[in-house]
Order: sequence, then C-alpha cells, then structure tokens
Amino acid sequence: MTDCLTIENLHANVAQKPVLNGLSLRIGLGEVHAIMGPNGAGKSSLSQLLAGKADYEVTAGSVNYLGRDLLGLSIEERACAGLFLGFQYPIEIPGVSNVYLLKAALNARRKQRGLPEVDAFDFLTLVKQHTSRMKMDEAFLHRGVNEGFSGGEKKRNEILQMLVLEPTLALLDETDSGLDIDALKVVAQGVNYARSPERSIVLVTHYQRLLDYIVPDYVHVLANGKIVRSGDASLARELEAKGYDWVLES
Amino acid sequence: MTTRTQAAAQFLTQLRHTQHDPQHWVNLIWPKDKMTGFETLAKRDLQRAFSAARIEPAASAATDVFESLLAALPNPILIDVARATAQELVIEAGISIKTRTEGTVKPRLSSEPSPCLSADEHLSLTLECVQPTVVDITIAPDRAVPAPIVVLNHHHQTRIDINVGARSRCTLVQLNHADAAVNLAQTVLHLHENSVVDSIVVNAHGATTLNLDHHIAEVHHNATLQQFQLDAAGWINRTRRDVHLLGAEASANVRALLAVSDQRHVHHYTQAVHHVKHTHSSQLTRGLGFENGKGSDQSVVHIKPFAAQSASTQSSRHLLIDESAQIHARPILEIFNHDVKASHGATVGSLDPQMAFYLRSRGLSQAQAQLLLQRAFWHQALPSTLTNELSSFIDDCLFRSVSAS
Repeated sequence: MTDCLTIENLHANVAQKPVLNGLSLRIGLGEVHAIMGPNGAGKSSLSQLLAGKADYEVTAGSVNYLGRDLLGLSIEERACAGLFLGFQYPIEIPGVSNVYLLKAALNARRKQRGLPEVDAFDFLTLVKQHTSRMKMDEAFLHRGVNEGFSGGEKKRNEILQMLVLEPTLALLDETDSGLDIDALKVVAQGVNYARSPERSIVLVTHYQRLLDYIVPDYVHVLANGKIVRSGDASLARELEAKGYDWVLES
Repeated sequence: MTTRTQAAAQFLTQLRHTQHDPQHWVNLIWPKDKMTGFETLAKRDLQRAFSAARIEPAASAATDVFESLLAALPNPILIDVARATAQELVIEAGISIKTRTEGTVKPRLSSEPSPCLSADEHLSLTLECVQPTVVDITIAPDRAVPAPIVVLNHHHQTRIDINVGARSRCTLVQLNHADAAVNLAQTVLHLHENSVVDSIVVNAHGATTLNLDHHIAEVHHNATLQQFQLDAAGWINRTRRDVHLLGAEASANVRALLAVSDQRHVHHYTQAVHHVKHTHSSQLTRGLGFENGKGSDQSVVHIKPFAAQSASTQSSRHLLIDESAQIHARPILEIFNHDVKASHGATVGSLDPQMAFYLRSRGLSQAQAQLLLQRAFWHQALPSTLTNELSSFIDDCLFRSVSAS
C-alpha cells in the first residue's frame, strides 16, 4: 500500500519541554488509525505539530507526507496539500461565516492544484448535501465560524469542513469529546462516509466508544511521547477493559 | 499635490482671517489640561508640520470613494450641497434644500455646555468661520423616503442642518470630502417626533486635511437614530459627535469605525446626552491600528438628573495590527440619576494567533487569514441594516486604508 504519512524518530519540545520522544508511525493511504493514550501522552501535540502549529520545536526525526518533507511546509501549504486537522477545541471566529470560510478554503486548495474557483451553485449544492448529512441546520452556514455553537455542534462543524474539503489525510483530535450518544453517531457516520482508498484518517481519542462506530484498521497506544504498542481494533477493547496501566506496565 | 507643509501654511493663512493667534487656535483645539496621550502626539505632529517638516502625503482617493459609493447605491436621491442657493430648491417631493447665512456658526444647546468640557474646549466647538453658511435640508413630515438620500459635502466651513419631519423615515448617507487644509464642517441632524433615520457618515477627506468636523444629532420624542460613521481618510482627524436625546422613548444607536496609520491619526469623541427620562443610547466603536498609527476613542454617556429609567451601553474595542500602533480607549459615564441602566466595556489588543492558526489550517495564507480577521473585526461596527452593497463599500474603504498602510 502507498504510504501517506511516515514519521520516524520524531522528537519535539514545546516551551523547551519534551512532548514527543522518538515517535515513529507509518500510515498507508486509505487506512484508518486510532491513536489512544492517557492524558498528557502527547496525542494532541502530535496532531498540532503535524498541522504546523508554531509552538512546537522539532529537535530530531522526520515526517514524510506523500513523498514530501511535511516539516518544511507552512501551515497553509500542508492544508492545501490535503492535510486536515479536526480540532479538539474548535475556536469561535465571530464575523467570519462558515460558508465564507468553506469557500475560501476550498478555493485555496483548488488554486494549489491549478483548478479554477469552484462554481457558486456547485459549491452550495455540495455544502448543503453535507450539512444535511451532518444533521445541521442550513442556518449554521451563515453564522460566524463556531460562534455560539454547542460543543456537539462545533464537532459536527469540523466534520462538515472535512467532508467539503476532501482531505487526503484527516487528523481528528478527540472528535468524540463532549458529544452525547446521538451526536457521536452522527459524527461517526460522517467519518465513515469520508472513508476512502484515497483518504487516510487518524482518530485521536481517549475512549474506545468512538471505535464502536468507526472501526479502525490499526490502534496505537501513545505514552510519554512515543508509540508503545500497536495492534488491530481488538487492542482498543482490551484497553477499555484493562486500562492504560496494563500497557505501560507490561 | 499639496504637501502637509503646504497644508499647514494654508491653515495658518485661514487662521489669520479669524483674527486669532495660530497658537491660540491650536491650544483651543487641544487644550492642555484635557489632552490624552494621542492628542499630545497629534499636536506635536501638527506643530512639526507648521515648522515646515517634510512629510509626504498619500494620494487622495476621494474620487474613487465617490464613485464606489454611488455604485453601491442604486437610484439614490442625490443632494450636492454645492447646488444649494438662497432660493429653496426641491430635490424630490417633500425634500428641499436652501442656504442661509449666520453671523457665527454655533452648535445647538450651547447654553448648556457639558460639565465635562472646559470653557475653552466648548469655545473650540463653536467652529467660527469667516463667512459662515448654513445649508438647510428639509424632509417633510409623514414621508417614508424609499431611496437612500446621499448628501455630498465638499464644503469645509459649512454647517448642514438636516431636518427630518415628524413620522418620516429615511436613510441618509453623508459623504464628506474636504481637500482644504482644515475642515471645520458641522452637521446638525434634527429628528422630529416618531421619525426614524438610518444615517451613514463617511469621512473621505484629503490626505493632507486636518479634519475637525462636528456632528450633532437632536432626537425628539419616540424618534430613532441609527448612525454609523467611518473615519478612514484625512490626515489628523479630531471628529466629534454629540447626540442629544430630547424626548421620551428617543433612541440612538451610534457606531463608528476608525482606522489609524502612519498617514492618518484619529481622535474620536462621542457623547450621548440623556436629557429626559425613558431614553436609550448605545455607542459602539471599533478601531484598527496600523504601522505608527495613533488614535483615541473617548465615549461619553451623560445622564441628566431628570433622565430616570434611561439605558445606555458603550463598547469600545480596538485591534492593533502593528506593534507600533497606539489606540487609547476612554469610556466615560456621567450619571446624575440612580434609576438608570448603564454599562461600558473597552479593550485594546492584537489579533488572536489561535484564530489565525485555525484559518491557515484550512488553507488560507497568513495574509488572507489576517485580512479576514481584520474584516470580521470591523464588521462588528456595521449596522445590521446595512445593505450588502454598502457593506462592500465600507470594506473597500477599509481595504484602501489597509493597503495604503
């Protein structure tokens, strides 16, 4: 299988404090990986570092994304190359409407691929389809980005953006946190809809419950800034039953 | 093209006609005991120009502003103040214009100076002119004017009195453009009972103009004023707005957007005076500070002793795009009755890097993300009733400011 993302021996600091300590991971195109781990293991740090957040200083290692050095790209270059980060805490941006951001983001990606700007009618049709899929009211499209949204609405909005932007690699950082059971199912349906041989998905989560609805190809346990165990979907169920200490002590 | 040095020289010439010592005028405009940090800097800047310092001005974009404003307003009722004569001219049924002269132009309610003003400061607002001219624009009672009324004002020493008749309703768009060295124009807006006015004031003065304009609104019983002012042009702007709520249930929502840069300094002063009970005001100002820009926003709410059960809100928020910019926010409440509601808030800060990261993670460039966030910020000042076309016009004016900075 073609490699989508290859991380080798990645070390990184934030505010001179090590957060990743020799992390290695290979994600093939079309695969769904779940990264689990206790609080402070480095899961969110990994997602944000891959998206290009400036707070992180890479001290060693490499990240190869579709044959390119990911760490050499700016935040927007990564996004336009097909990397999408679903935020754990999506920020509110009053005054920038969801629909405006979606269109600007889609056109930025199309421009990078040498395509013309999206047709307005086609764009609205596409957005409305996915809005309906995520069981969101169309009125949300014209509100400020995440402005006044509940926690569940923010997470649905992240998945809506992912569906519209059609990334090659989606990093979904604790997409299940703060969701009630109905919202969890909707979010999971959205993610499952996005599964494709042309798209890799990384689910960062604490809990196995999300994986009841999205069955991953691989499960990894991240602790102390590196992958300490990998397995198939059964590993998540084992973690749920035995806790993280079982992995850390073994 | 007029340089600032030449502009200062013209200003001095004008001042000589007023029989005042120039330094006396400068002190009147910026009284020492009332100066904010910004005003100290603005005064220094002015005096430096007087001393023939070489400061290159930016090109005036007023013509472009005119054209884009008219493009944003399909089929407006156009009132060019320059067309006014002593004989009444009917522009449309129920809308007329004429001129008259007064010995001295003085603000209304001058017999009741605000306790927050010194005598000198109050005097500075009389805006004495060599040949004071008043242009009267009258909208008859019981008129619902469907089209926007655009008032084009090139005069720099004129007072415009706009009378909106009882129970009338209209949208007024006033475009002020003075390319003179100093603009002392004054606008007095009278809203008679039960009238409703949406007012948009765009100050598009020349790049070398010292702008000292003054807007006064008198809002009578059950009348509603919504006013938005854009200060995105001119050199040194010391703009003042006074809103007097004179009848029960009178209401004023006063908004302003200012942009300051190396080429443009703004001191913005707004005062809402609640004269009687059951009156309502809200003031909202948003400011953008670009490289070396200096500005201040002083918002005053004055609730008089008999103005019980009145309500007022103030919000003064400013975004410093560049570290070298300075904007001072001074919300002031002067309340002389216990049975009122009044709130205020003021912030000065920079763009949130988390927001920029979020937008860039979606593919927008850093420049796009910053501009989008700036635009989102300044849109907070726009009235919700603004048409998309006028909103785009305001965007254009601000983009001009951004690109010129």
